[in-house]
Amino acid sequence: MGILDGVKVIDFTHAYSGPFCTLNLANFGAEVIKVERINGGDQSRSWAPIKNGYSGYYASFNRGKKSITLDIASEEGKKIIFDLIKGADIVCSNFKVGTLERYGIGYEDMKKVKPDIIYATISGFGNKGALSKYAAYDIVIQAMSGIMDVNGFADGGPTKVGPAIGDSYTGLILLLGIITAYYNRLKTGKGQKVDATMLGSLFSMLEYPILEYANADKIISRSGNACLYYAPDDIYKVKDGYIALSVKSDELWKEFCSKIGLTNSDNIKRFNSNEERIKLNDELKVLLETHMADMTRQEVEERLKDIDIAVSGVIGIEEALEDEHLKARNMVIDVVDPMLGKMKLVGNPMNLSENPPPEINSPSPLLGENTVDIMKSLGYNENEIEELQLKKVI
Amino acid sequence: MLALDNVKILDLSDGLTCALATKYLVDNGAEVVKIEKISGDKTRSWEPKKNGGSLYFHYLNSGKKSITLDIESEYGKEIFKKLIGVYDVVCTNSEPGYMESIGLGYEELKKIKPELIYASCTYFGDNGPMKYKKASSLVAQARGVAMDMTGVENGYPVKASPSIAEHYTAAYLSTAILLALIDKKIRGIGQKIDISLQDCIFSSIEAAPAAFSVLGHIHTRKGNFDPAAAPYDTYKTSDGYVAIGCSTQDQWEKLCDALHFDDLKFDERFNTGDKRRDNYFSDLQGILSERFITMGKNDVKTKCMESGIPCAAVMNIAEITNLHDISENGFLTASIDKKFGQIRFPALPFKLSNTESAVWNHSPELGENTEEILKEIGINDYIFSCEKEIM
Repeated sequence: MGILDGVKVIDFTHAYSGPFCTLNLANFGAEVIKVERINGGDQSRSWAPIKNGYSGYYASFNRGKKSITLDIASEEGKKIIFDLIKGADIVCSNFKVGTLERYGIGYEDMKKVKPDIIYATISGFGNKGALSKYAAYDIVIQAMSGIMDVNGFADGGPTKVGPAIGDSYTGLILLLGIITAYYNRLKTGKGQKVDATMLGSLFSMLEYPILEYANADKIISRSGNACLYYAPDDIYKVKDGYIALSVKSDELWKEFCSKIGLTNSDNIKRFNSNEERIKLNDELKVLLETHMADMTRQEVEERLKDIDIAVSGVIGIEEALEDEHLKARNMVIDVVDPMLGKMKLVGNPMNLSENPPPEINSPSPLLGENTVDIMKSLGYNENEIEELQLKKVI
Repeated sequence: MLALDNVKILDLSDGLTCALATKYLVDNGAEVVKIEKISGDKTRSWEPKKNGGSLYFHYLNSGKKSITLDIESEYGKEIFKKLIGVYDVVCTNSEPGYMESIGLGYEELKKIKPELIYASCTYFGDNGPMKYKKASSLVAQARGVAMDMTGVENGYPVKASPSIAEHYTAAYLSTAILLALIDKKIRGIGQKIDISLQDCIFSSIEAAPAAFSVLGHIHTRKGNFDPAAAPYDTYKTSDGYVAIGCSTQDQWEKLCDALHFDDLKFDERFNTGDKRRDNYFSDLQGILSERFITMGKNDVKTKCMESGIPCAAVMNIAEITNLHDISENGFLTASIDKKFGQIRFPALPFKLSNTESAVWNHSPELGENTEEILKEIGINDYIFSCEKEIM
């Protein structure tokens, strides 16, 4: 039993942003039918990591969905799409602006067969402006939006956030828009169009530097990992890796010094107040790193465990997949993929007490795995289906 | 009419995350009442400031109402419990266990109102060995793996400078609240929502879990390069940086044509996607870096874009804010407030065609709506409450 049981989603999305959005719909019980190209399907089916010719990338974000292959440029294909839309609640796509309209299956066309459809799209730069006609990749959006410029160290280059947040965050924003529209539809019976853009989404993430620039003419750029308001709040190199450490008051600073063993140094006196620590942050970092150079992450955490200081090693993927806390949170889930075998993937961060996560996680579909079943459910008989297969419509 | 008209939310938020989640809801028509401690939401003192107020608070809380209430006092608790009766949702970012410790945890409130939706967001979540550990945004990010994946190889991991964990969490939290409201419409039930910053940022790490669990490949920081394709990176030019994304053979060949890299196009080290990836750090990155440093960023950008290769100059905050496409698409918007005059800020990042979201002109003064909200639940001795210093 899921909140979105009975909700049907026709999903034209490919790559990362759109599939990340519709994964969340599937997680809450929606029937997500992925419409894929006959020749190769979603482009992410060829993306690394690849094993036995199958993509672990695709397998990560299409769990619990169904796959139908379809030539959307053909007349028969278009008819099948309208058949699908008639029984659908939500349509999603992340093509370049205007693509579905060019095939005659844009919002206005779909509305004619299903007036209350929710039609959701992701584009790179929005529908207007000189950039609207261009394709966008995450790296382009991170570069333009200002994220790269504010990220990293003052003496280093602009820094991309490693994972493609231009895609996943936009997918998440589209999800929020879709659920808002779906709530409205339950109330009023009316559908509508939902638009999210990669540039607008990442731009909105920068609210603080934008407020500073647009209202106070102050330009904020990259300044490393340290916090501007209290110190220490930074990433420190220790013997076997890096630790994150936040000390938010002068009292805690004293406790920190005593636990970590910085007791006898006259040096410490200079760092007694938060104001001084912020001012001398570079020196503070050298002092702490020198002192902790022979300590392991575990030792630092152990020493500080009884005081109210936030501390943790910076953990990588290998460690995270075995992390007891992430496991307890159901954030590391097991999936048995028919082609890739056992995999560990990321769980659903939205915990709703009356909607516990499933005991068994469905894998992602093979290309066209559900084509015949879906065609039958639309009323096509076996001969018709075979004929459409021969004509390479499905 | 807006999408969320008639949805009523009690918002105990203090800081960014939870307030951003309720901003998404108030902008679409929900009634959001902030319950602030007597000293007020901490963002009331955050930069940037103007005319004695915080633009940051204004950005997050416009359109909401504010009452002050000491929910730790007996009378304050009583009032809070009465308020629950007329609201659909309570949301809070208080530390795990805090609401229970003052007798206002979900289990208690559920007894008063079974269909209540109770939404909590915390750094580490409401169960697991880290539940009661002291946390901070930096530490939650450090445990969320995205930080390990950001920065240059052999260098420090880099925190994302915008509060990305907070933004992911706010989007998940507001979505979860709406899902619970849908569940309430369908099944008539309430429930508890439990969301953590660590989980939310962990959900952004792309294919890293698959790469490790299927092939043993570790995705960690490698600069701005993407492990899936090459060249997909940033390069320093004579006057700034450019970002270029080539993920297909066709794009690579077009790049070579557009920038007159004929020798590279036919170089056997680089003539397939796999080879470019395998030989990127050993050869291709160095070769490209030497060439780009002699070119201008706008020259590279124009040539690439005209050839259909995704490309952009790396922009700073001033450049992007002033870009014509930003205003043309309404990504930057403005409102006029009595206290602040005109304020410019990022627009809501999604658009609904029929139920357009609101842009509010006013953010509440501390406790501005206390009297009005109390009257709603039949309490008229507001002055008495003030004297007892619980409001």
